[in-house]
Formats: sequence, structure tokens, C-alpha cells
Amino acid sequence: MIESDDLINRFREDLRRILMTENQALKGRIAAARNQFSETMTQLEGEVAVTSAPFREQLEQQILNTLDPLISGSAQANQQRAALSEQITNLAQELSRREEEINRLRQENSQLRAQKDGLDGELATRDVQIGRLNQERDQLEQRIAAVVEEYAQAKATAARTTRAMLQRIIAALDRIEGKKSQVDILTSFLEEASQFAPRVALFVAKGDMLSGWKAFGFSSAGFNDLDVKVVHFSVNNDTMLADAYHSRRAISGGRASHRENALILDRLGSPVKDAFVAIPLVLRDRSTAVLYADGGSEGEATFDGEALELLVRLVALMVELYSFRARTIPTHRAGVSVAEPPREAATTSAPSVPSPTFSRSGPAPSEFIPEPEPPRPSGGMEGAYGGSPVATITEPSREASGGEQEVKLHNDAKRFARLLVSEIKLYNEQKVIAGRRNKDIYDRLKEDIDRSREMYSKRVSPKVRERVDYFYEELVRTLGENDPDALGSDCPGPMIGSAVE
Amino acid sequence: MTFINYASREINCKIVYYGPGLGGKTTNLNYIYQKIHPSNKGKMVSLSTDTERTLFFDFLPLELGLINGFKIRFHLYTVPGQIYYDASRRLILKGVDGIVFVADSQEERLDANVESLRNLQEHLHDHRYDFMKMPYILQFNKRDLSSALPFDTLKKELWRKNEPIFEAVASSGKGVFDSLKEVTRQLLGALKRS
Repeated sequence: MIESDDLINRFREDLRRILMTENQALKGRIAAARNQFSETMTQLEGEVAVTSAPFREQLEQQILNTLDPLISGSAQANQQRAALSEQITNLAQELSRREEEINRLRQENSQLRAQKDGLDGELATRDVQIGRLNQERDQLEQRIAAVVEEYAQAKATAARTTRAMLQRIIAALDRIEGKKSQVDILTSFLEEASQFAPRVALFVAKGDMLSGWKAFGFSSAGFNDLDVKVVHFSVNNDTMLADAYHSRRAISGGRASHRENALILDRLGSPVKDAFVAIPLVLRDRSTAVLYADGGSEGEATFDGEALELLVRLVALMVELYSFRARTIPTHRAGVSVAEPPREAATTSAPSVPSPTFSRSGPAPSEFIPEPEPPRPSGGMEGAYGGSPVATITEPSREASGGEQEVKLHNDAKRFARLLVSEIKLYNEQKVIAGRRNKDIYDRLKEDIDRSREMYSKRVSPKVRERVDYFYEELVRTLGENDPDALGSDCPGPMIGSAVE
Repeated sequence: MTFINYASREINCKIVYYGPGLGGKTTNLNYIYQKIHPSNKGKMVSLSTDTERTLFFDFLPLELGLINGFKIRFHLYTVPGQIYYDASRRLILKGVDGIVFVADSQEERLDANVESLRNLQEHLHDHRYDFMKMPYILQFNKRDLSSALPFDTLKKELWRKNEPIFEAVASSGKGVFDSLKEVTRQLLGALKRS
């Protein structure tokens, strides 16, 4: 038993030694394996480290390469987006503006539509009016045609009447001219005047009185012709006789036209028709007598004022001429031997008038001895009978009476007026025609007429202008074709006398 | 009168076409303007009314090249013909060197011719110009019209100082350049003498 234990112990010991040796060897092999492993691992790690860097770079590069376009594309897209966004904003703004504009236009459109509707309505109304006016125009045209026809007939009648009147005046003048003294001339004149008015009376001026000298036609009115010799009217009363005497113009009117006309009518008897005329007999710028005429106390009671005025003016010239001849050609006067008793000698330069107190067969009006100068200012006939303001009768006395020089002045003035007015017509043919048709020539050609008038006034002597307005006469003759109304109501009338300056 | 600029060696002359209204003064100038080469003329200025009637004047500058080293320049003017534009005519005549009187041959314009001529002489006198020494020609225009007065009748009424007379139809150009040449000839002669 000891041995076995020994043996076992030895065996154990031996086994332990073997195990230890084996263990030692194993440990060595493990350590070697571990080292080798470690080395291998290190090597592998190195290899891995060497091989992964380029790969990573390559990868990175590939990524970058892939990203680049993505990144840059994104930037462009952003820019595009921003630009688009801006465009969109702008377009939105523009759109907004356009919408506003459209709204405004719509409003305007609706307003215009409303206006159009209104105008359409007005147009329709106007159409109706035009239709009515056309009808009226047609009617008016018919009436105008009728009036024109009537006017033409009246004009022809008037022309015939005027011709007849002039023939009567000429015949009357022939008869008056044959008389050998002023008394006969005036008596004959009054007889002839009674052709143109049923009642006529001549009142001669002496001092402040107009005294009856001779009358015709009053015998049936409770006041006979002889009674006139004791009738006197003061020139200071407000009567037509006094007015004619002072103004040296023919005055027509009636009982109410002058405050004290009743003085005359109550004395002479009122005519049937309340109208009469007073015409001054003007010698050398002074009224020496006044003719009274009316339509009489019965019958149609008409009288011809124009004819009477013309007759008075011509007789005045005749008396002046008679006196002038008597003064300047005494032998001739003696030769014709008037065989009248000597008249009251006219010793002063002013014309004398017959005494209002001479008897029926007694002294005649004393001689009027006017001197040839100064010329008589135009008495004018304008407005005397409410007719045309134009003195259509060319009185010889209104023109030159002062010798060749004055004749020349008048002729030059006439020529210049004719030239000015013909030039207005030449430059404005159409306006003149239209103006004549509408009777408003002056309104259409105011500037030309006024400027030409100014030239006329600058050029023509006041001596001529204060007596005759040749410029106005030319306006009437050339532009108005002798119709003063064609110039229109705005056209200033003739500028003579005090109107010259 | 004639303006001579020695520094720039230029001579400027003023020729005025005078005469009654609607006589053809502007027509004369228009014809000249149409026929002159553009390099020899300036712009034509017309101050006219809406009916193309001369309101103040027509003006046409003409270059005639060099004479003795001087550049000659003519200024052609017309005047308004209507009688009442008197102040304008008077103004335009100031400094005139030569005159073409354009008379209207029509019978109905005889008085207008006489008046215009009288008016011309009056204005020249007022400006202290001697009409008798002024380069001047008389042109009878509108000779083609049937209402034209005989030459001798017009001459009797309008001939004043032995001046040359030209018969013209300005609308067709007849007599237009003859008139201009003659007044120019007279003007240059006067210039030489001065």
C-alpha cells in the first residue's frame, strides 16, 4: 500500500510534470498564435487602412459628383424660382392694375352707356324736333316765297310810284322854275306842295316867331287859308314846327310826339289821321320858313312826306340860285325884268324872311340872298319817316360846292371808299353772299369793315366826312346790293355831322 | 439800304414785291422758290391768313454765289396787299434796295393799282427814300385774263419814271424771272456806283 501510494504519487508527479511541460508548450504555442494573430490583425488593419482611403475619396468624389449637379441645379432652380416668383409678383401686380383698369373702364363704359342712352333719347327727341322744324321750314319757305312774290310786286309798284312821284316833282319844278320872283316861286311852290298833301301851310321865321304866310286846303276845317296870316307860333314852344326850325330836319309825328303840338292842331284843326310833317326851308344854314303838311280833315287823309321834303329842298336851292343870280348878274336880272315891286333889301349877310304881318296882296317874303359859301351841312333825311337811315337821294348840295378843289376831295373820297369796300368784297366773296342772305354782313366782316373805316377816316378830309359818308354808302351799294338792312342791325349807320369825330 | 459785311465778305440786298391785294406778289415768289436750286435758296417763310392771303410778308432768301469775293445774298419780300395793312407795308419797306411793283391787269383793279402805287410812293417818301433813284420795275401781271386792260392803258396810269415794264403771268412763270433779273441788274448797278 505505501508503494502504490508512492507510485501513484510519482505517477501524479510525473503526470503533473508532463502536464506542466505540455501546458508550458501550449502556452508558448498560444502566445505565438496570439502574436501571429495580432501581427496578422495589424497587417490586416494596415491593409484595410491602405485600401479604404482612396476608396473613400473615390466614393466621396462620386458622391460629390452626384451632388454637384444636384446642388448647382438646385441653385439655378432657386434663382429660377426667385425670378419666377418675382415675375409672378409683377404679373400679379400688373394683373391687379389691369383689373383696376378694367373696372375703371367698365365704370366709364357704363357711364358712357348711360350717356349714350341719354343722347339716344335726346337724338330721338331732336329727330322729332327736326321733323317738326323741317315741316315749319317748308311752311316758312312757302310763306317766304309768297312774301318774296308779294315783295317783288310791291317793289315794282313802289318803283312805279316813285317814278310817278319824281315825274310829278319834276313837273312841279318846271312850273315853279318859270316864276320870275321869289314870291311867285314860293306861292307856286305851295300850290305844287298841295298836290302831295291835302293841307299845306308855310310859316316864315321872324325873330322868335314862326308866322303864317300862305296856306292851301284849310277852308273846310273851320279855319280858312286866309286865317293863316294871323297865326304865329313861338320857336321856343315844344312843337314839331319849332323842332324842324331848330334841327333843320324834316320832322314827322302826331299830336303826342311833341309836348305842345296841341297849340298847332287846336289852331289849324286836327287832321283825320293823327299825323303831320314839318319841313324846314333852309337857306344858307338857316331855317327861314317851315312847311306844315297833313292829310286833311276828310277823305283818306294821306300825304307824301318824302315828296314834300324833296320838293322843299329843291325849292330852297332854286331860291338860293335865284338870289345868287340876282346878285351876281344884275344885267341879266334886269334883262329878265322880274317886274316885281322892289323887295325889302337884304342888307345883312343873313337871309331875311318876310314879315308875318304883310297883307294878302302885300309884300312878298323878302329876298333870300345866300352867299355861295359856306356849304350847308347835310340836313340828312335819315330816320325822318322812320325808314332807311340811308340818304338815298343824292342832294347836289351835300357834295362839292366850293370849287374844283372840293370837287376833287369828294371824288377822291368816293373813289377811296369804293376801293376799300370792293376789296372787302374781293377778299370775302362767300362771307358777303352769306351775310347778304342772312342780313348780317357786318357781323361776319366786322374786322375788315372797321379797319377799312379807320383807313377811310384817316385818309378823307373831315370837311368831306362831315357832309357825306361815302364809305357807308359803298357798304350799302357794294356789299348790301343797295339794301342797307343786309348789313345787319349791328352795323353803325352813316357817320356824318357831329358823328364824324 | 444794302448791308455789306466786310468782315465776312457778304452783301445782303432786300427786294420788295409791292402791289395791290391779290395781284400776284406771292405767286411770283412761289414760282421763284420752286425753280431755284435748293443749294441756292433758304427756307421760304410765309405769314398768311387761313385763306392763304399774305398777312404780314413772304420771305425768300436767295444765294447768288461770289462776286468779287463777296457772297451775294438777296432777300425777297412781299407785302400784304389789302389797303388796311398799311402799317405792315410801311415796316417791310424799311431798308428796301429794290422794288418790283406787281400790278393787276384787270380793269376792275385799276384803282387799286393806282392807290397801291400812291401808297408805295408815300411810304418811300416817309422813309426818306428817293423813289426816282430806287431800283424799280413795273410788272403787269395776269396778262392772260380776258378782263386785262390794254398795255398802253396800264402804262398811262402806272408808269412813273421810265422804268422797264414786264408783262407777266406769274402763275405760269411768264415774266417772273425777267422781272427779278432786271431789278437785280439795277440793284447791282446801284451797288457798284455806291
